[in-house]
Amino acid sequence: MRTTLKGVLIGIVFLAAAGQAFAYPPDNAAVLYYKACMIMEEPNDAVEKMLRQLSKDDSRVNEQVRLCLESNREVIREIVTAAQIKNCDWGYDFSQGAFMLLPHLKKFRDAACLLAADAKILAEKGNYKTAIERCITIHKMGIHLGDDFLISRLVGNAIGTLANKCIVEILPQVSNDTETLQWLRTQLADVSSRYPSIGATVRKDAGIWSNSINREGILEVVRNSGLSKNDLDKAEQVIRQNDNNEFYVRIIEYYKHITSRIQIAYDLPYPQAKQVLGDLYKEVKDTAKEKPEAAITEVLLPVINRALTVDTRERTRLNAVRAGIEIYIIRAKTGKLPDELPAGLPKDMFSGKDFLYEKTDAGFILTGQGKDLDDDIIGFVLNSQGKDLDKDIVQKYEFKVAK
Amino acid sequence: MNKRNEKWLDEQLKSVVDSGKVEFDSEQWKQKYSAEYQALVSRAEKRLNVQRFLWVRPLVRVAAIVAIVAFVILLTHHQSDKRVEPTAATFVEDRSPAKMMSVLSLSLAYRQGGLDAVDEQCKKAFELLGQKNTNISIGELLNENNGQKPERKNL
Repeated sequence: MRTTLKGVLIGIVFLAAAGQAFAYPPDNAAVLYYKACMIMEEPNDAVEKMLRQLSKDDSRVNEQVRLCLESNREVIREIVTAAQIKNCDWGYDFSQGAFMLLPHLKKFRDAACLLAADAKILAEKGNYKTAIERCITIHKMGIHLGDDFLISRLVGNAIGTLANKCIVEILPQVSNDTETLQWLRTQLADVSSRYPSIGATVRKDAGIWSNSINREGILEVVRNSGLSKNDLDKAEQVIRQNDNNEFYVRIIEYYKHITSRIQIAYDLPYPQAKQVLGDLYKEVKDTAKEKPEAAITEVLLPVINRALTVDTRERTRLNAVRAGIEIYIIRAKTGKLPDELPAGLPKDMFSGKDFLYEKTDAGFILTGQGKDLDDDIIGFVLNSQGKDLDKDIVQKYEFKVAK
Repeated sequence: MNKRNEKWLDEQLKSVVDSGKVEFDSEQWKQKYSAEYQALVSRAEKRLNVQRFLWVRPLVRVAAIVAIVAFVILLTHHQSDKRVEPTAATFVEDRSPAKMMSVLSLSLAYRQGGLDAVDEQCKKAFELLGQKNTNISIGELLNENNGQKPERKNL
Protein backbone atom coordinates (compact mmCIF):
# COMPACT_ATOMS: atom_id res chain seq x y z
CA MET A 1 0.00 0.00 0.00
CA ARG A 2 2.75 2.37 1.11
CA THR A 3 4.82 1.53 -1.98
CA THR A 4 1.89 2.25 -4.28
CA LEU A 5 1.32 5.62 -2.60
CA LYS A 6 5.00 6.47 -3.00
CA GLY A 7 4.83 5.56 -6.65
CA VAL A 8 1.77 7.74 -7.21
CA LEU A 9 3.41 10.69 -5.42
CA ILE A 10 6.63 10.35 -7.44
CA GLY A 11 4.50 10.16 -10.59
CA ILE A 12 2.67 13.39 -9.67
CA VAL A 13 5.94 15.22 -8.90
CA PHE A 14 7.43 13.98 -12.19
CA LEU A 15 4.40 15.10 -14.19
CA ALA A 16 4.41 18.52 -12.50
CA ALA A 17 8.12 18.94 -13.22
CA ALA A 18 7.66 17.84 -16.81
CA GLY A 19 4.83 20.35 -17.16
CA GLN A 20 7.14 23.10 -15.91
CA ALA A 21 9.95 22.00 -18.20
CA PHE A 22 7.80 22.11 -21.34
CA ALA A 23 5.74 25.17 -20.33
CA TYR A 24 5.03 27.54 -23.14
CA PRO A 25 5.20 30.48 -23.32
CA PRO A 26 8.23 30.97 -21.07
CA ASP A 27 7.93 33.33 -18.12
CA ASN A 28 10.37 35.79 -19.70
CA ALA A 29 9.12 37.83 -22.67
CA ALA A 30 12.68 38.73 -23.73
CA VAL A 31 13.32 35.14 -24.85
CA LEU A 32 10.55 35.41 -27.42
CA TYR A 33 11.51 38.94 -28.40
CA TYR A 34 15.09 37.83 -29.11
CA LYS A 35 13.69 34.92 -31.12
CA ALA A 36 11.48 37.30 -33.09
CA CYS A 37 14.48 39.54 -33.82
CA MET A 38 16.44 36.51 -35.07
CA ILE A 39 13.78 35.32 -37.49
CA MET A 40 12.78 38.74 -38.74
CA GLU A 41 13.05 39.14 -42.50
CA GLU A 42 14.74 42.53 -42.65
CA PRO A 43 12.74 44.99 -44.75
CA ASN A 44 14.75 46.53 -47.57
CA ASP A 45 15.49 50.26 -47.46
CA ALA A 46 12.39 51.26 -49.43
CA VAL A 47 10.03 49.16 -47.31
CA GLU A 48 11.69 50.36 -44.12
CA LYS A 49 11.08 53.94 -45.22
CA MET A 50 7.43 53.13 -45.94
CA LEU A 51 7.04 51.47 -42.55
CA ARG A 52 8.47 54.51 -40.78
CA GLN A 53 6.21 56.77 -42.80
CA LEU A 54 3.18 54.70 -41.79
CA SER A 55 3.99 55.50 -38.20
CA LYS A 56 4.11 59.22 -38.93
CA ASP A 57 0.89 59.75 -40.85
CA ASP A 58 -2.31 57.96 -41.78
CA SER A 59 -1.08 56.73 -45.17
CA ARG A 60 -2.32 53.35 -46.39
CA VAL A 61 -0.37 50.12 -46.46
CA ASN A 62 0.91 49.35 -49.96
CA GLU A 63 1.73 46.05 -51.66
CA GLN A 64 5.43 45.99 -50.75
CA VAL A 65 4.66 46.45 -47.07
CA ARG A 66 2.00 43.71 -47.29
CA LEU A 67 4.60 41.32 -48.75
CA CYS A 68 7.04 42.18 -45.98
CA LEU A 69 4.29 41.52 -43.43
CA GLU A 70 3.53 38.14 -44.94
CA SER A 71 7.20 37.16 -44.65
CA ASN A 72 7.13 38.15 -41.00
CA ARG A 73 3.93 36.44 -39.82
CA GLU A 74 5.95 34.30 -37.39
CA VAL A 75 7.61 37.41 -35.98
CA ILE A 76 4.23 38.97 -35.27
CA ARG A 77 2.99 35.77 -33.67
CA GLU A 78 6.02 35.56 -31.36
CA ILE A 79 5.73 39.22 -30.38
CA VAL A 80 2.01 39.01 -29.64
CA THR A 81 2.74 36.06 -27.34
CA ALA A 82 5.71 37.81 -25.72
CA ALA A 83 3.76 41.00 -25.01
CA GLN A 84 1.27 39.04 -22.92
CA ILE A 85 4.01 37.91 -20.53
CA LYS A 86 4.44 40.19 -17.55
CA ASN A 87 8.12 39.60 -16.87
CA CYS A 88 10.78 40.77 -19.34
CA ASP A 89 14.44 40.28 -18.45
CA TRP A 90 16.82 41.17 -21.29
CA GLY A 91 19.80 39.57 -19.56
CA TYR A 92 21.87 42.74 -19.44
CA ASP A 93 25.34 42.53 -17.91
CA PHE A 94 25.31 45.76 -15.93
CA SER A 95 28.95 45.35 -14.91
CA GLN A 96 29.87 46.44 -18.45
CA GLY A 97 28.41 49.88 -17.82
CA ALA A 98 27.82 51.93 -20.95
CA PHE A 99 29.66 49.31 -23.03
CA MET A 100 26.74 46.93 -22.64
CA LEU A 101 25.23 45.84 -25.93
CA LEU A 102 21.66 46.53 -27.04
CA PRO A 103 21.51 44.72 -30.39
CA HIS A 104 17.73 44.37 -30.29
CA LEU A 105 16.76 48.07 -30.29
CA LYS A 106 16.46 48.65 -34.04
CA LYS A 107 14.83 45.32 -34.84
CA PHE A 108 12.43 45.88 -31.99
CA ARG A 109 11.39 49.21 -33.48
CA ASP A 110 11.09 47.58 -36.93
CA ALA A 111 8.87 44.92 -35.38
CA ALA A 112 6.67 47.61 -33.78
CA CYS A 113 6.26 49.25 -37.20
CA LEU A 114 5.30 45.87 -38.70
CA LEU A 115 2.63 45.46 -36.02
CA ALA A 116 1.30 48.95 -36.72
CA ALA A 117 1.08 48.12 -40.43
CA ASP A 118 -0.70 44.90 -39.54
CA ALA A 119 -3.13 46.86 -37.35
CA LYS A 120 -3.92 49.13 -40.30
CA ILE A 121 -4.58 46.18 -42.58
CA LEU A 122 -6.80 44.52 -39.97
CA ALA A 123 -8.75 47.77 -39.55
CA GLU A 124 -9.15 48.05 -43.33
CA LYS A 125 -10.66 44.57 -43.27
CA GLY A 126 -13.03 45.56 -40.48
CA ASN A 127 -11.24 43.56 -37.71
CA TYR A 128 -11.15 46.58 -35.42
CA LYS A 129 -10.83 44.78 -32.12
CA THR A 130 -7.85 42.70 -33.32
CA ALA A 131 -6.37 45.87 -34.86
CA ILE A 132 -6.57 47.65 -31.50
CA GLU A 133 -5.13 44.55 -29.82
CA ARG A 134 -2.09 44.97 -32.07
CA CYS A 135 -1.77 48.56 -30.80
CA ILE A 136 -1.91 47.37 -27.20
CA THR A 137 0.79 44.85 -28.06
CA ILE A 138 2.92 47.72 -29.39
CA HIS A 139 2.36 49.60 -26.11
CA LYS A 140 3.43 46.56 -24.10
CA MET A 141 6.56 46.20 -26.25
CA GLY A 142 7.49 49.78 -25.35
CA ILE A 143 6.99 49.05 -21.66
CA HIS A 144 9.01 45.84 -21.91
CA LEU A 145 12.01 47.81 -23.16
CA GLY A 146 12.24 48.88 -19.54
CA ASP A 147 13.75 51.79 -17.66
CA ASP A 148 17.36 50.62 -17.37
CA PHE A 149 18.81 53.04 -19.93
CA LEU A 150 17.70 56.37 -21.26
CA ILE A 151 18.32 55.25 -24.84
CA SER A 152 16.04 52.21 -24.53
CA ARG A 153 13.44 54.35 -22.75
CA LEU A 154 13.51 56.82 -25.65
CA VAL A 155 12.96 53.97 -28.12
CA GLY A 156 10.17 52.77 -25.82
CA ASN A 157 8.63 56.25 -25.96
CA ALA A 158 8.75 56.22 -29.75
CA ILE A 159 7.04 52.83 -29.78
CA GLY A 160 4.37 54.18 -27.42
CA THR A 161 3.79 57.15 -29.72
CA LEU A 162 3.33 54.73 -32.62
CA ALA A 163 0.74 52.75 -30.64
CA ASN A 164 -1.23 55.87 -29.66
CA LYS A 165 -1.26 57.26 -33.20
CA CYS A 166 -2.50 53.91 -34.46
CA ILE A 167 -5.27 53.78 -31.84
CA VAL A 168 -6.45 57.32 -32.65
CA GLU A 169 -6.64 56.31 -36.33
CA ILE A 170 -8.81 53.27 -35.59
CA LEU A 171 -10.98 54.86 -32.86
CA PRO A 172 -13.56 56.46 -35.21
CA GLN A 173 -14.40 52.98 -36.52
CA VAL A 174 -15.27 51.76 -33.01
CA SER A 175 -16.72 55.03 -31.73
CA ASN A 176 -20.20 53.48 -31.42
CA ASP A 177 -18.98 50.21 -29.90
CA THR A 178 -19.28 50.74 -26.13
CA GLU A 179 -17.95 47.31 -25.27
CA THR A 180 -14.73 47.70 -27.27
CA LEU A 181 -14.26 51.23 -25.94
CA GLN A 182 -14.64 50.05 -22.34
CA TRP A 183 -12.21 47.19 -22.97
CA LEU A 184 -9.74 49.67 -24.46
CA ARG A 185 -10.16 51.98 -21.46
CA THR A 186 -9.06 49.14 -19.15
CA GLN A 187 -6.16 48.19 -21.37
CA LEU A 188 -4.81 51.74 -21.54
CA ALA A 189 -5.24 52.24 -17.78
CA ASP A 190 -3.02 49.17 -17.35
CA VAL A 191 -0.47 50.54 -19.85
CA SER A 192 -0.46 53.89 -18.04
CA SER A 193 0.09 52.28 -14.64
CA ARG A 194 3.02 50.23 -15.98
CA TYR A 195 4.63 53.12 -17.85
CA PRO A 196 8.26 53.37 -16.65
CA SER A 197 9.20 56.50 -14.72
CA ILE A 198 11.67 58.72 -16.57
CA GLY A 199 13.14 59.88 -13.23
CA ALA A 200 14.00 56.28 -12.33
CA THR A 201 15.46 55.79 -15.80
CA VAL A 202 17.72 58.83 -15.42
CA ARG A 203 18.89 57.55 -12.02
CA LYS A 204 19.78 54.12 -13.39
CA ASP A 205 21.33 55.54 -16.53
CA ALA A 206 23.56 57.91 -14.53
CA GLY A 207 24.77 54.96 -12.45
CA ILE A 208 25.65 52.99 -15.57
CA TRP A 209 27.51 55.89 -17.17
CA SER A 210 29.48 56.66 -14.02
CA ASN A 211 30.71 53.04 -14.13
CA SER A 212 32.21 53.82 -17.53
CA ILE A 213 34.21 56.87 -16.50
CA ASN A 214 37.67 55.66 -17.37
CA ARG A 215 40.18 56.44 -20.11
CA GLU A 216 38.57 54.20 -22.74
CA GLY A 217 35.00 55.32 -21.98
CA ILE A 218 35.78 59.01 -21.99
CA LEU A 219 37.83 58.83 -25.18
CA GLU A 220 35.01 57.05 -26.98
CA VAL A 221 32.45 59.58 -25.78
CA VAL A 222 34.62 62.54 -26.73
CA ARG A 223 35.41 61.12 -30.17
CA ASN A 224 31.78 60.46 -31.00
CA SER A 225 30.15 63.57 -29.62
CA GLY A 226 30.22 65.48 -32.87
CA LEU A 227 32.87 67.92 -31.63
CA SER A 228 34.71 70.00 -34.21
CA LYS A 229 38.26 68.89 -35.04
CA ASN A 230 39.61 71.76 -32.98
CA ASP A 231 37.46 71.00 -29.92
CA LEU A 232 38.22 67.30 -30.23
CA ASP A 233 41.97 67.98 -30.26
CA LYS A 234 41.57 70.18 -27.18
CA ALA A 235 39.50 67.55 -25.37
CA GLU A 236 41.99 64.80 -26.17
CA GLN A 237 44.81 67.03 -24.98
CA VAL A 238 42.98 67.60 -21.66
CA ILE A 239 42.58 63.83 -21.23
CA ARG A 240 46.24 63.15 -22.09
CA GLN A 241 47.47 65.86 -19.72
CA ASN A 242 45.33 64.58 -16.84
CA ASP A 243 45.46 60.86 -17.53
CA ASN A 244 45.66 59.62 -13.96
CA ASN A 245 43.37 57.97 -11.44
CA GLU A 246 42.79 61.14 -9.45
CA PHE A 247 41.45 62.89 -12.57
CA TYR A 248 38.86 60.16 -13.20
CA VAL A 249 37.80 60.22 -9.54
CA ARG A 250 37.26 63.99 -9.86
CA ILE A 251 35.12 63.47 -12.99
CA ILE A 252 33.00 60.80 -11.27
CA GLU A 253 32.42 63.08 -8.27
CA TYR A 254 31.45 66.07 -10.40
CA TYR A 255 29.29 63.92 -12.71
CA LYS A 256 27.43 62.41 -9.75
CA HIS A 257 26.94 65.84 -8.20
CA ILE A 258 25.34 67.16 -11.41
CA THR A 259 23.24 64.06 -12.16
CA SER A 260 21.81 64.03 -8.61
CA ARG A 261 20.61 67.61 -9.20
CA ILE A 262 19.16 66.54 -12.55
CA GLN A 263 17.19 63.80 -10.82
CA ILE A 264 15.71 66.34 -8.41
CA ALA A 265 14.75 68.54 -11.37
CA TYR A 266 12.89 65.63 -12.97
CA ASP A 267 10.48 65.52 -10.02
CA LEU A 268 9.42 69.13 -10.64
CA PRO A 269 6.52 70.18 -12.88
CA TYR A 270 7.59 70.37 -16.53
CA PRO A 271 8.17 74.16 -16.94
CA GLN A 272 10.19 74.41 -13.71
CA ALA A 273 12.13 71.27 -14.57
CA LYS A 274 13.07 72.77 -17.95
CA GLN A 275 14.17 75.98 -16.22
CA VAL A 276 16.35 74.12 -13.70
CA LEU A 277 17.90 71.94 -16.41
CA GLY A 278 18.66 75.02 -18.51
CA ASP A 279 20.35 76.75 -15.53
CA LEU A 280 22.29 73.61 -14.72
CA TYR A 281 23.47 73.38 -18.31
CA LYS A 282 24.81 76.95 -18.15
CA GLU A 283 26.50 76.25 -14.81
CA VAL A 284 28.32 73.18 -16.18
CA LYS A 285 29.32 75.09 -19.31
CA ASP A 286 30.77 77.97 -17.29
CA THR A 287 32.60 75.65 -14.88
CA ALA A 288 34.02 73.77 -17.86
CA LYS A 289 36.12 76.83 -18.73
CA GLU A 290 38.16 76.31 -15.57
CA LYS A 291 37.74 72.68 -14.57
CA PRO A 292 38.47 69.81 -16.97
CA GLU A 293 36.15 67.48 -14.99
CA ALA A 294 33.25 69.81 -15.84
CA ALA A 295 34.27 69.88 -19.50
CA ILE A 296 34.23 66.07 -19.61
CA THR A 297 30.93 65.94 -17.68
CA GLU A 298 29.40 68.33 -20.21
CA VAL A 299 30.10 65.82 -22.97
CA LEU A 300 29.21 62.80 -20.84
CA LEU A 301 25.77 63.85 -19.72
CA PRO A 302 22.98 61.87 -21.32
CA VAL A 303 20.18 63.31 -23.38
CA ILE A 304 18.38 64.54 -20.28
CA ASN A 305 16.87 67.75 -21.59
CA ARG A 306 15.46 66.09 -24.67
CA ALA A 307 14.33 63.04 -22.72
CA LEU A 308 12.21 65.17 -20.37
CA THR A 309 10.28 66.70 -23.26
CA VAL A 310 9.94 63.42 -25.17
CA ASP A 311 8.65 61.63 -22.07
CA THR A 312 6.24 64.42 -21.09
CA ARG A 313 4.93 64.56 -24.66
CA GLU A 314 4.35 60.81 -24.75
CA ARG A 315 2.57 60.76 -21.38
CA THR A 316 0.40 63.67 -22.47
CA ARG A 317 -0.49 61.87 -25.69
CA LEU A 318 -1.44 58.73 -23.78
CA ASN A 319 -3.56 60.80 -21.37
CA ALA A 320 -5.22 62.55 -24.29
CA VAL A 321 -6.13 59.18 -25.84
CA ARG A 322 -7.52 57.96 -22.51
CA ALA A 323 -9.52 61.18 -22.06
CA GLY A 324 -10.71 60.89 -25.67
CA ILE A 325 -11.95 57.34 -25.05
CA GLU A 326 -14.04 58.59 -22.09
CA ILE A 327 -15.67 61.13 -24.39
CA TYR A 328 -16.28 58.45 -27.03
CA ILE A 329 -17.92 56.24 -24.37
CA ILE A 330 -20.27 59.08 -23.34
CA ARG A 331 -21.17 59.61 -26.98
CA ALA A 332 -21.70 55.88 -27.53
CA LYS A 333 -24.00 55.75 -24.50
CA THR A 334 -25.91 59.03 -24.97
CA GLY A 335 -25.75 59.39 -28.73
CA LYS A 336 -24.05 62.81 -28.59
CA LEU A 337 -20.78 64.38 -27.61
CA PRO A 338 -20.75 66.08 -24.18
CA ASP A 339 -20.87 69.88 -24.19
CA GLU A 340 -18.12 70.15 -21.61
CA LEU A 341 -15.15 68.07 -20.64
CA PRO A 342 -16.17 65.57 -17.95
CA ALA A 343 -14.37 65.94 -14.62
CA GLY A 344 -11.59 63.64 -13.45
CA LEU A 345 -10.08 62.78 -16.83
CA PRO A 346 -6.33 62.23 -17.34
CA LYS A 347 -4.48 65.56 -17.60
CA ASP A 348 -2.06 67.41 -19.85
CA MET A 349 1.37 66.59 -18.40
CA PHE A 350 2.98 69.81 -19.69
CA SER A 351 0.77 71.96 -17.46
CA GLY A 352 -0.67 69.47 -14.98
CA LYS A 353 -4.11 70.83 -15.91
CA ASP A 354 -7.14 69.40 -17.72
CA PHE A 355 -7.16 69.40 -21.51
CA LEU A 356 -9.23 72.09 -23.20
CA TYR A 357 -12.16 70.49 -24.99
CA GLU A 358 -13.64 71.70 -28.24
CA LYS A 359 -16.30 70.09 -30.46
CA THR A 360 -15.70 70.20 -34.22
CA ASP A 361 -17.62 69.10 -37.31
CA ALA A 362 -15.52 65.92 -37.53
CA GLY A 363 -15.49 65.12 -33.83
CA PHE A 364 -13.58 66.90 -31.07
CA ILE A 365 -10.17 68.30 -30.18
CA LEU A 366 -8.30 68.09 -26.90
CA THR A 367 -5.70 70.81 -26.40
CA GLY A 368 -2.99 70.93 -23.78
CA GLN A 369 -2.76 74.02 -21.58
CA GLY A 370 1.00 73.86 -21.22
CA LYS A 371 3.64 74.62 -23.80
CA ASP A 372 5.84 71.87 -25.20
CA LEU A 373 9.20 73.55 -24.76
CA ASP A 374 11.03 71.33 -27.17
CA ASP A 375 14.26 72.80 -28.41
CA ASP A 376 17.42 71.82 -30.18
CA ILE A 377 19.31 71.14 -26.99
CA ILE A 378 19.74 67.42 -27.25
CA GLY A 379 21.14 66.43 -23.91
CA PHE A 380 23.61 69.01 -22.71
CA VAL A 381 25.21 69.51 -26.08
CA LEU A 382 23.94 72.40 -28.12
CA ASN A 383 23.32 71.04 -31.56
CA SER A 384 22.65 74.17 -33.54
CA GLN A 385 25.37 76.73 -32.90
CA GLY A 386 23.53 77.99 -29.83
CA LYS A 387 20.34 78.92 -31.67
CA ASP A 388 17.38 79.16 -29.36
CA LEU A 389 14.75 77.12 -31.11
CA ASP A 390 12.09 76.96 -28.42
CA LYS A 391 9.03 75.90 -30.28
CA ASP A 392 6.46 76.83 -27.63
CA ILE A 393 4.05 74.36 -29.16
CA VAL A 394 0.68 73.72 -27.59
CA GLN A 395 -0.16 70.09 -28.26
CA LYS A 396 -3.51 69.38 -29.98
CA TYR A 397 -5.09 65.96 -30.35
CA GLU A 398 -7.83 65.55 -32.90
CA PHE A 399 -10.43 62.79 -32.54
CA LYS A 400 -12.92 61.93 -35.26
CA VAL A 401 -16.25 60.21 -34.84
CA ALA A 402 -18.11 57.92 -37.24
CA LYS A 403 -21.01 59.73 -38.91
CA MET B 1 83.63 118.27 -57.57
CA ASN B 2 86.26 117.80 -60.39
CA LYS B 3 88.62 114.88 -61.27
CA ARG B 4 91.78 116.58 -59.89
CA ASN B 5 90.17 116.75 -56.45
CA GLU B 6 89.34 112.98 -56.54
CA LYS B 7 93.05 112.03 -57.22
CA TRP B 8 94.10 113.99 -54.24
CA LEU B 9 91.64 112.05 -52.06
CA ASP B 10 92.89 108.65 -53.41
CA GLU B 11 96.48 109.41 -52.43
CA GLN B 12 95.40 110.43 -48.95
CA LEU B 13 93.44 107.15 -48.50
CA LYS B 14 96.39 105.01 -49.77
CA SER B 15 98.67 106.50 -47.19
CA VAL B 16 96.25 105.58 -44.36
CA VAL B 17 95.06 102.09 -45.50
CA ASP B 18 97.69 99.50 -46.56
CA SER B 19 96.02 97.47 -49.33
CA GLY B 20 99.09 95.27 -50.06
CA LYS B 21 98.75 91.43 -50.34
CA VAL B 22 99.07 89.58 -46.95
CA GLU B 23 101.15 86.35 -46.92
CA PHE B 24 101.28 83.83 -43.99
CA ASP B 25 104.76 82.59 -43.01
CA SER B 26 104.19 79.33 -41.05
CA GLU B 27 107.82 78.73 -40.06
CA GLN B 28 108.06 82.19 -38.65
CA TRP B 29 104.77 81.64 -36.76
CA LYS B 30 106.03 78.27 -35.30
CA GLN B 31 109.15 79.95 -34.02
CA LYS B 32 107.31 82.95 -32.64
CA TYR B 33 104.59 80.83 -30.85
CA SER B 34 106.48 77.55 -30.14
CA ALA B 35 104.61 76.68 -26.85
CA GLU B 36 101.14 76.92 -28.45
CA TYR B 37 102.35 74.87 -31.47
CA GLN B 38 103.59 72.00 -29.22
CA ALA B 39 100.26 71.90 -27.31
CA LEU B 40 98.24 71.53 -30.56
CA VAL B 41 100.49 68.73 -31.87
CA SER B 42 100.26 66.61 -28.66
CA ARG B 43 96.39 66.92 -28.59
CA ALA B 44 96.10 65.57 -32.18
CA GLU B 45 98.33 62.58 -31.36
CA LYS B 46 96.15 61.60 -28.36
CA ARG B 47 92.99 61.51 -30.53
CA LEU B 48 94.69 59.30 -33.09
CA ASN B 49 95.72 56.80 -30.38
CA VAL B 50 92.08 56.37 -29.18
CA GLN B 51 90.81 55.81 -32.77
CA ARG B 52 93.54 53.30 -33.37
CA PHE B 53 92.62 51.44 -30.13
CA LEU B 54 88.93 51.24 -31.09
CA TRP B 55 89.32 49.96 -34.63
CA VAL B 56 92.37 47.80 -34.42
CA ARG B 57 91.15 45.62 -31.49
CA PRO B 58 88.53 43.12 -32.89
CA LEU B 59 86.79 42.51 -29.55
CA VAL B 60 86.13 46.18 -29.05
CA ARG B 61 84.86 46.44 -32.63
CA VAL B 62 82.35 43.54 -32.11
CA ALA B 63 81.23 45.00 -28.80
CA ALA B 64 80.59 48.36 -30.46
CA ILE B 65 78.50 46.77 -33.23
CA VAL B 66 76.49 44.73 -30.71
CA ALA B 67 75.84 47.87 -28.67
CA ILE B 68 74.61 49.76 -31.74
CA VAL B 69 72.31 46.90 -32.84
CA ALA B 70 70.89 46.55 -29.31
CA PHE B 71 70.24 50.27 -29.17
CA VAL B 72 68.36 50.21 -32.51
CA ILE B 73 66.25 47.18 -31.42
CA LEU B 74 65.40 48.79 -28.11
CA LEU B 75 64.40 52.01 -29.80
CA THR B 76 62.11 50.23 -32.30
CA HIS B 77 60.52 48.11 -29.56
CA HIS B 78 59.89 51.14 -27.40
CA GLN B 79 58.15 52.93 -30.26
CA SER B 80 55.88 49.95 -31.05
CA ASP B 81 54.94 49.78 -27.34
CA LYS B 82 53.63 53.31 -27.43
CA ARG B 83 49.77 53.39 -27.64
CA VAL B 84 48.75 54.60 -31.08
CA GLU B 85 45.68 56.74 -30.64
CA PRO B 86 43.24 56.51 -33.54
CA THR B 87 42.14 59.78 -35.01
CA ALA B 88 38.55 60.93 -34.77
CA ALA B 89 37.96 60.15 -38.42
CA THR B 90 39.07 56.55 -38.22
CA PHE B 91 37.65 55.75 -34.80
CA VAL B 92 34.07 54.93 -35.80
CA GLU B 93 35.21 52.66 -38.61
CA ASP B 94 37.69 50.94 -36.32
CA ARG B 95 35.05 49.89 -33.78
CA SER B 96 33.73 46.37 -33.92
CA PRO B 97 30.15 46.08 -35.23
CA ALA B 98 29.02 44.73 -31.86
CA LYS B 99 30.48 47.73 -30.06
CA MET B 100 28.50 49.98 -32.38
CA MET B 101 25.39 48.69 -30.62
CA SER B 102 26.52 49.48 -27.08
CA VAL B 103 24.57 51.79 -24.76
CA LEU B 104 27.36 54.32 -25.19
CA SER B 105 27.46 54.27 -28.99
CA LEU B 106 23.70 54.29 -29.42
CA SER B 107 23.25 57.11 -26.90
CA LEU B 108 25.83 59.17 -28.76
CA ALA B 109 24.14 58.38 -32.08
CA TYR B 110 20.85 59.61 -30.59
CA ARG B 111 22.52 62.85 -29.58
CA GLN B 112 23.72 63.35 -33.13
CA GLY B 113 20.50 62.62 -34.97
CA GLY B 114 17.74 61.13 -32.83
CA LEU B 115 16.22 57.70 -33.38
CA ASP B 116 16.95 57.72 -37.10
CA ALA B 117 20.66 57.91 -36.30
CA VAL B 118 20.26 55.02 -33.84
CA ASP B 119 18.56 52.98 -36.57
CA GLU B 120 21.26 53.86 -39.06
CA GLN B 121 24.04 52.85 -36.69
CA CYS B 122 22.41 49.49 -35.90
CA LYS B 123 21.82 48.88 -39.59
CA LYS B 124 25.47 49.54 -40.36
CA ALA B 125 26.51 47.21 -37.54
CA PHE B 126 24.28 44.40 -38.85
CA GLU B 127 25.66 44.92 -42.35
CA LEU B 128 29.20 44.61 -41.00
CA LEU B 129 28.22 41.52 -39.03
CA GLY B 130 26.75 40.10 -42.22
CA GLN B 131 23.77 38.81 -40.29
CA LYS B 132 21.44 36.68 -42.35
CA ASN B 133 17.85 35.82 -41.76
CA THR B 134 17.49 32.62 -39.76
CA ASN B 135 13.81 31.96 -40.19
CA ILE B 136 14.02 28.26 -40.85
CA SER B 137 11.78 25.46 -39.62
CA ILE B 138 12.94 22.20 -38.03
CA GLY B 139 11.78 20.36 -41.17
CA GLU B 140 13.91 22.60 -43.36
CA LEU B 141 16.88 22.10 -41.05
CA LEU B 142 16.46 18.31 -41.23
CA ASN B 143 16.22 18.48 -45.01
CA GLU B 144 19.38 20.56 -45.09
CA ASN B 145 21.16 18.00 -42.86
CA ASN B 146 20.09 15.28 -45.29
CA GLY B 147 21.73 17.19 -48.09
CA GLN B 148 18.54 18.65 -49.59
CA LYS B 149 18.41 22.33 -50.40
CA PRO B 150 15.52 23.94 -48.51
CA GLU B 151 13.00 25.77 -50.65
CA ARG B 152 12.54 29.20 -49.17
CA LYS B 153 10.89 32.27 -50.54
CA ASN B 154 12.73 35.52 -50.14
CA LEU B 155 11.48 39.03 -50.14
